Amino acid sequence: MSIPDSVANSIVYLADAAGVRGTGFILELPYGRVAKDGRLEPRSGKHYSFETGGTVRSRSPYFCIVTARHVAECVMDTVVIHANSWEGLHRFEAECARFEELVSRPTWASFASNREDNERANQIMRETAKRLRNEHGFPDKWEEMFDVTERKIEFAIDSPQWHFHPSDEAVDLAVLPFDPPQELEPEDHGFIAPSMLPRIHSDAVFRPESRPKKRPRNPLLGETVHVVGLLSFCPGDDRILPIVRTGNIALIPDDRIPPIGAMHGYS
Amino acid sequence: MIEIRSIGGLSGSPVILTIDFGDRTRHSLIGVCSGHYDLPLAQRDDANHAHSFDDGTAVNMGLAYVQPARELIEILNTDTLIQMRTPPKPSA
Repeated sequence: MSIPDSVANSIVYLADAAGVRGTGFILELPYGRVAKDGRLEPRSGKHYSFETGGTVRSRSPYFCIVTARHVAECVMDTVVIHANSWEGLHRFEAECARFEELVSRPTWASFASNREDNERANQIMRETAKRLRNEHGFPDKWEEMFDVTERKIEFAIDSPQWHFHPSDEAVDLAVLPFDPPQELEPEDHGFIAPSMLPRIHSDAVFRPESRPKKRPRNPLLGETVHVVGLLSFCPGDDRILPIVRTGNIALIPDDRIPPIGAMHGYS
Repeated sequence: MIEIRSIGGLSGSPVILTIDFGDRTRHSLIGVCSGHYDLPLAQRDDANHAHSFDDGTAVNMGLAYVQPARELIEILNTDTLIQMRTPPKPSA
């Protein structure tokens, strides 16, 4: 069983001068976004639609980075975000979808089957882009749009405004509203959406007074879970390389779990 | 709490619940990975000690602690964050 692309795309690594300290993920929330100076800055453009599952043209959503509080406390002065760029490979996919008739089905199938092979996928992208330029009059610079040699991007946020749980300091969670760079913005798959939050309808995230229309299904003991995050000794050079670990729900406690031996937070 | 062979670096990772309905699969974000438990050396009794891996280091119990998503929602619902994502009212 695989994880959705939106989960893999949302993974970021949080670093400081000493190096990568832990994992975080980007959570999409609709409505306005927060600008770097903290103001609300609604924008127009293409973005992922929670309703249709496709790309629509309307105001961009609001973004935040979620991580563990003890990781956030390691990067309180400046946090450097490592993420995979949406340039290149994903842009090629989106553009080819637009020009499906020109790209041809065999070419698209060949690209899709070699998607994980960067070298081969690059070759197909270049050949396709060159053909579209020569045969169909695409602009000279068109091929350069698909340069995937620099897929990992790093950007720093000074004095990040982390938000913690309002009433319980023991909650090991932190949320950082942020304004993602243009190349990080999703064009098709999106990031983790509020519709993925369980037991509560996404509207309730924004309007606490609203109630879900259907009774939500609770997670059950033994069900499969995936954890996607940093492999500390192999963070990745050209792109970040999150790993997926698979396990199951072992315990759903009603109360706080008492200390069982030594608990280790990773950072 | 989830059973998983977790390692350093996974703090802050999303924990995704996967439910297979046959014709479709649903993925839910159920929480954020926070840490894991080690079997403390001091609590090993003689019987367990005989099966322990070594005497010098603690053993990863294979249990990771997950901060539930409902606590994430509580943070997202704080007044400050709600206000940040509330679109400005159009000027008259």
